[in-house]
Amino acid sequence: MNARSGNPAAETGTDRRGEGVRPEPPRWARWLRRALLWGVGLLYAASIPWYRGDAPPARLFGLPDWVAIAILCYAAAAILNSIAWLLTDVPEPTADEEARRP
Amino acid sequence: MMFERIGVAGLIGYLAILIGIALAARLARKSGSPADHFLAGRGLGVFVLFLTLYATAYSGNSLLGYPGQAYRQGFSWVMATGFMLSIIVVFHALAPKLRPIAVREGFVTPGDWVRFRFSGEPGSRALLLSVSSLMAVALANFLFGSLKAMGELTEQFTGAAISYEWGVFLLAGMVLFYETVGGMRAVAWTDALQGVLMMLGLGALLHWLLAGSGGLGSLTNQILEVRPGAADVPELREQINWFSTIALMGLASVVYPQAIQRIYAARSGRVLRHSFALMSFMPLMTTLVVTLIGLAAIAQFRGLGDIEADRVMPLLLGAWAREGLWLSLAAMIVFLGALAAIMSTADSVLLSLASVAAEDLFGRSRRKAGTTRFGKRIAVVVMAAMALLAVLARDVTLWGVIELKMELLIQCVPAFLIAIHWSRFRARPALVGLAFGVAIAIAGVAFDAKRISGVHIGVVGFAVNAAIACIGSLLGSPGSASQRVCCSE
Repeated sequence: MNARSGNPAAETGTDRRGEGVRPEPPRWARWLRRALLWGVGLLYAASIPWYRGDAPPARLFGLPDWVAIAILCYAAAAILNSIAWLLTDVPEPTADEEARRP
Repeated sequence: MMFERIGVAGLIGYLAILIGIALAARLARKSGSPADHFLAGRGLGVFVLFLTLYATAYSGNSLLGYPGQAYRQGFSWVMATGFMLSIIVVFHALAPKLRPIAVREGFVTPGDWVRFRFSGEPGSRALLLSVSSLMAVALANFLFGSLKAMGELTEQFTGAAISYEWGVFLLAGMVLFYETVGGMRAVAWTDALQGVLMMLGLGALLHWLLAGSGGLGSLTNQILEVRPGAADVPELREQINWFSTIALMGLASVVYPQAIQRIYAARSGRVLRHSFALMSFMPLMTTLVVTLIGLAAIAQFRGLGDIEADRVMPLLLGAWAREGLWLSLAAMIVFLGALAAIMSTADSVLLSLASVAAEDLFGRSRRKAGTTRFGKRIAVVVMAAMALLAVLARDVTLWGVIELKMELLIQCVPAFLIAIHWSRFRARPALVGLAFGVAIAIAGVAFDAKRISGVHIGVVGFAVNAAIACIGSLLGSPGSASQRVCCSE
């Protein structure tokens, strides 16, 4: 057991240099993560009112509509980004690599 | 007068708690090594890592500079929520790949990555020095902004019982004390306390503002009375600037040395991704709140100049505190929360600056405990110099300081983001690209051409920098075997 990282071997599998393979996240998780990040990109594009004409803005939640839309886009992007982080694989070094660390 | 007394008493109590935390962190240290001092022995868990990331990311710039900029710019400053979130988005491209290598190789500073990635290549030493120098300059700039904000807030809140100058020196001394005594452990623990205070304070202030103004609709009406065109859709140039600011902040912030060191300091990959998942919501809970505070100030304080606009937060707190004893106490919590945010950034920046200077610029070995002592001495010198500068150069807008820092820092991005994903990326073209990028950014600032059609000069410099580095790498030889192992997955 390693005090710093809990149990790296249990979390990441065995050696990456041939003796074993780290467990990969499931394919659906990788695809979902990618789709969520694309969603974040689209929400960013929608947050900037480049598609708006010069018409006077309406009110949404008491704010000018383009301001409210930007806030809603960022709120949705925060949710998607948060889920994407939970699906992100951040592998730990194996016990063998830990032992070899300079 | 009551409010000023409460302010001084609250400040003294808060500083006493910080001293206690620093001493506790000193007792908890495991060794005198740089890894223990600068990274808390790589043992930060989800709660502390999240709060230290939060308190570090949201600084004096966020708490004073962003309301000030919202006051100047109006509704379009809602972009700030987007660019603060973009930092956590762009980290997807760096943290998952950098963290395993950093832990495996025992990195302490951002320069360790550059040293490892370009090891043995022509130009690698010059690239390391260039990247580290830019980071040091950006960190010093960050420290200057934080010290300036500390002085402003202290003077406003204590009714000038503690002057701006004394506020800068007193709080700089306190940060220096707990950072040198307790290292990253003290910084992270004080950050945790400061993060909680900041969240409580901002929540209370927002509630007071919205309750006082009659809700968002009423707030909008009040702003339109003062600035009739404020609700109009921004012009094309401002929209381009919106996009450019998101790119500038999102890209440059991922190479903040103190943020990179927190990636190294996390206890595990799981802790890191959970902390980032929580951090995704902080722009809504912090940046959006301070933006609304700045907007509310448009109606409350008419006709503030550019420099005075950075003081809208303390002015609002002062107005709140004059409404009675209980509101004075509530204002004190907000004040301490804001001060906590600023100090937590300053301490992280100082710690990072000390490690970057000691190891990457002066080439001290990370295996020697003497490097930690050397880093502490550097921290003392830098803090003294920046405190003096903050006293001498008070009349600079905080947003101006932030932009300058980002325009330099973004030039380091290719050495991290491109290098970690592309094995053919070479040190020499990266160095040439960086030189061009920095030259463009500096020329833009020197000749007062900070934007080209709304695009920040630093972003233009970054585009040129990345193009030169990539084309030069394509024309060069393929990478060595070790570089392909680390970067080609």
